[in-house]
Amino acid sequence: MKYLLSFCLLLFSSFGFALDGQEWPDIQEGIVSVKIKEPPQKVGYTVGDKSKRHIEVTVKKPFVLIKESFPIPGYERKYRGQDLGIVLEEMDYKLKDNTTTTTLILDLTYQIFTNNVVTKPGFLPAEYFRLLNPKDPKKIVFKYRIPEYQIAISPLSIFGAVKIEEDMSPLRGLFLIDESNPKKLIKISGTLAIVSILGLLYIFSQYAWLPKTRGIFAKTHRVINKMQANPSSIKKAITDIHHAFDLISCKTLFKENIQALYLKNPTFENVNDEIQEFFKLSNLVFFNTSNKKFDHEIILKWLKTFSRHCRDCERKLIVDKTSRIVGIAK
Amino acid sequence: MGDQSLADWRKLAVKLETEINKVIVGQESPIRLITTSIFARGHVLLEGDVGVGKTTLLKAFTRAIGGGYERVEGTIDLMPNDLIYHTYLGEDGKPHVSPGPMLKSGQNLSIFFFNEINRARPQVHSLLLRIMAERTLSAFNKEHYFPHMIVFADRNQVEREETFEIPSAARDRFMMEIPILIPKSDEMMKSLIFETRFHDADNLVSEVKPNLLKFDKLKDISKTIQEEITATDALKNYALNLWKATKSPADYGIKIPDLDMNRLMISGSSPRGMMMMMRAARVNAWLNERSSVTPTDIHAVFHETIAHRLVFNPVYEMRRTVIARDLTNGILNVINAP
Repeated sequence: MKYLLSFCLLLFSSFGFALDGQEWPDIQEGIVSVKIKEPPQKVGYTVGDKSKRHIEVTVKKPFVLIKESFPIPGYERKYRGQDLGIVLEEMDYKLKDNTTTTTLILDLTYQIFTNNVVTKPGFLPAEYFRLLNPKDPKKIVFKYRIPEYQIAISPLSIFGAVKIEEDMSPLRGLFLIDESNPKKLIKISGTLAIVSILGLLYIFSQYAWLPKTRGIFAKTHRVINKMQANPSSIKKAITDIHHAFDLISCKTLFKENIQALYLKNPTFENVNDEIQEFFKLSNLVFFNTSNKKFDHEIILKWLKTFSRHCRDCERKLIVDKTSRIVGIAK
Repeated sequence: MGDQSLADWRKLAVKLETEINKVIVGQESPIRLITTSIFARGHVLLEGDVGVGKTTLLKAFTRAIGGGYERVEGTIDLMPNDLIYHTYLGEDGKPHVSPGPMLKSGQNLSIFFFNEINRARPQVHSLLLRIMAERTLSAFNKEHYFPHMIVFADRNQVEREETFEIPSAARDRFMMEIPILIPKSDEMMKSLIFETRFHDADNLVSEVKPNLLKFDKLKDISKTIQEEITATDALKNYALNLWKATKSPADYGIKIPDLDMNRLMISGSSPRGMMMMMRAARVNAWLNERSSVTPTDIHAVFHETIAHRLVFNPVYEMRRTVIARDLTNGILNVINAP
């Protein structure tokens, strides 16, 4: 009975081993080729460091790679029953399909989570891919092994040193901060600053249109600019300009208290001649009882130009006086 | 009277101003306003401290205008009949009656200057009120006419003892209240102190060319000016809005610091006040060679023709001068034209 029990246990345990550690046959030579670009650093890894492998696996057709066999990020391998302390943190892959081959391009990023008081060996673990010939009626699955890469994991401090901050060994060199992100930030900020400065230069240059586009005269000019030349439009345009002046100077503006406008915005002094002419024109249109005939086209053109000049003054820009029409209020 | 006549009279008016400015320095604005009131046929209330040259100014105008000039001092015991006649015992030992200042010049009376009008009793104000309004007076069973007369009165706003505030009805008869201030320029002030020509007022006035204007023609030219100088609908609306704002400034958003605007006004300008303002504005337009009135003409005379007519709540009357100035400025700053 005792032997029978032992035999049964042996039988079941062998069956269990066969299920867990299912072994696939190696793919025959010539079907798979591999190119590996190993990380440039082989030693001096310590906890927190990252290491990258670039692997290109080319498989001849009709064999195909089984995607489910690709490495799984976050999965930590064991070595002799112990956690390896090296975890696959990130995996990027790309599949290139040709007429005769399929190429898998892999970028694997491992992170070190182990350390030791003395230098110890470690490795970026081997990876296994499974392959299948879909035309094979038996559907036999093969495996291909990417070999591990040996590295050396270094201690944070010299063995025996208790406090790392007291370790002033000149041999270690400096702990360097990754400066790529700050550099990128500086470049972006610098670009933004240059663009802003250029923008401001543009704004304060002669013919800017960006700032204060919602100013009183900006609005007035937009309205006047759309008007057609007729008596009522002329009156409305003049009234609108008067209204804009009143709003800017915070009082009803007349020729005799024009200084109130210049106190609020001295730039308007640059068009003083035109403002004086505008008041004359206003008097002619609204308060002159003589049957004077007006050329509405010319007056409206003048008012459009004048309102644009006022808009420029409102924006504290240099007024283009070459566009000025002289002697409108005669 | 045509355009040419108006132009000729304008030249005379400018000449009048030039003559007066020669002898009265630093008073260009009051001189312009007095000229305006002369051509608008309006009475003027002068406001100013003692010794600022009010009398000299008026004498100079009288000399240039021609006609009779009479002056009376306002005192607390002045009675209405003191303006009309005075009695005395003649050399023959008999009582005599001679015309008082009002009647002395007859119809040639051109300027009647009432000094310190607020020292006179209300009875005197009452008489003056009629003379100013109607330019007539009943005395000695006869109606006397003063067709060319303009009354200039002054009041000292500083002293208030033994004074009678001029009632609003009497104030309303004056076309303008003109402030006479000491010139601000140091150079002018030095001139007034050190230039001996200013020390003798009579000599100074004699420098003015006499009878520059024909006082008896002023009435006609004034009528012509009022007929010839026109106003558009836009200006009429503007004047109307100004008038409404004097009645209820709070409704127009006019604010004066530290004042309850809802309690300030008892009454705004009278229709006569607005009428006088427009008369003065027309003259101002004429003096500036315009054939129609502009808002600028109204502004030139607005404060002087309107401020003294406004009736404030009694609690604000003591600060009338300052409040009236702020109020008229506030009205002009708020009302739009067009």
